Amino acid sequence: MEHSVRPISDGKEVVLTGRLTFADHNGFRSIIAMFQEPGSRRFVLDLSAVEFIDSAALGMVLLARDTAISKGISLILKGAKGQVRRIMEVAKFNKLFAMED
Amino acid sequence: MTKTPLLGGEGVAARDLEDLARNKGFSLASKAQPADILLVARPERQQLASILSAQPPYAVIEAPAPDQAFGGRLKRALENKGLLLSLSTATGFNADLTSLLCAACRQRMDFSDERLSDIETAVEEALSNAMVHGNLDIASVLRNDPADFDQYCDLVNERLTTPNYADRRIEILMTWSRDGIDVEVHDEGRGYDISNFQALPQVEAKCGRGFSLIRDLASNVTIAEHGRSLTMSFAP
Repeated sequence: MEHSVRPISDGKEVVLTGRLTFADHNGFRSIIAMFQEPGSRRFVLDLSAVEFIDSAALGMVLLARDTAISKGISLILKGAKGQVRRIMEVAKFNKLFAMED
Repeated sequence: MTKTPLLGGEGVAARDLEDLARNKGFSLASKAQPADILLVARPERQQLASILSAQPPYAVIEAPAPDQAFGGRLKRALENKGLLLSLSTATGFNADLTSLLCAACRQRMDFSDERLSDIETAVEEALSNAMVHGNLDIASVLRNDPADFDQYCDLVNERLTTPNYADRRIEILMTWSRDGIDVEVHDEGRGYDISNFQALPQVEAKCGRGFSLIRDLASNVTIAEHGRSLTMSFAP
């Protein structure tokens, strides 16, 4: 997994690319650390360039959600498609996250 | 009886290869001829991708190889002209083995894109369980709480460089037949009790989804060796 960050009006958008798997713990740690930075009210995880996700990475997205909630940040998942969309549907992520196309 | 040809890749000493061939009853292949078994030293992802695009080899074994790499799974790989990968956890962890194995699967058998996606998801879960919980011996409970996640990451990074954990083998055996494909994933961890995995995970659970995904996606699942060996069968 690779990620890049761009500012949006009230926070940050993190664009993830490649495959999100159990081996990406260090990348997720960097992303979750961004939630500690002051000033953001809204965080968008852009998943449109993610081709595959496993359940360990789903768990790490949920950890990001817990951290966001504790900081009063709203976390939005954007652009999930293919296998990523299917596995998030199975995991009922729509009940936990705001999801945008 | 013809001896199984063995070839050594870059970084494998000729003497080690000769000793191995003599001790195990293999013949030494020249680089110009296809070898059924390929011994490679610390292969990286690109090298593995290139090796797996051809057939044979039917087994790719990382050197230095422990004795158990030449056991029953190797025999089955050679007999069935399947594919055995026997790697250290340090090598397997960052090589994204799932995508390599699925590419090999796509080359060798005609699955629909949807079924291949099922196989990819299930194999990934099995490899994740085998390497993180099995060989690195890290409990998934450390991924439950953001407060513990730093500790989880530090532990993974530390164990991937600690020989007692990093050198443990991950073995994947894929065999094909008219009925589909069998994928066996074997680790050297402490094993687990399958009865712990019967309950469906909660929606907000950060871990515990892997085995239920495998069960949902595979046509059949068999667990052996006290949880150290998981075989998934996939009908087309």
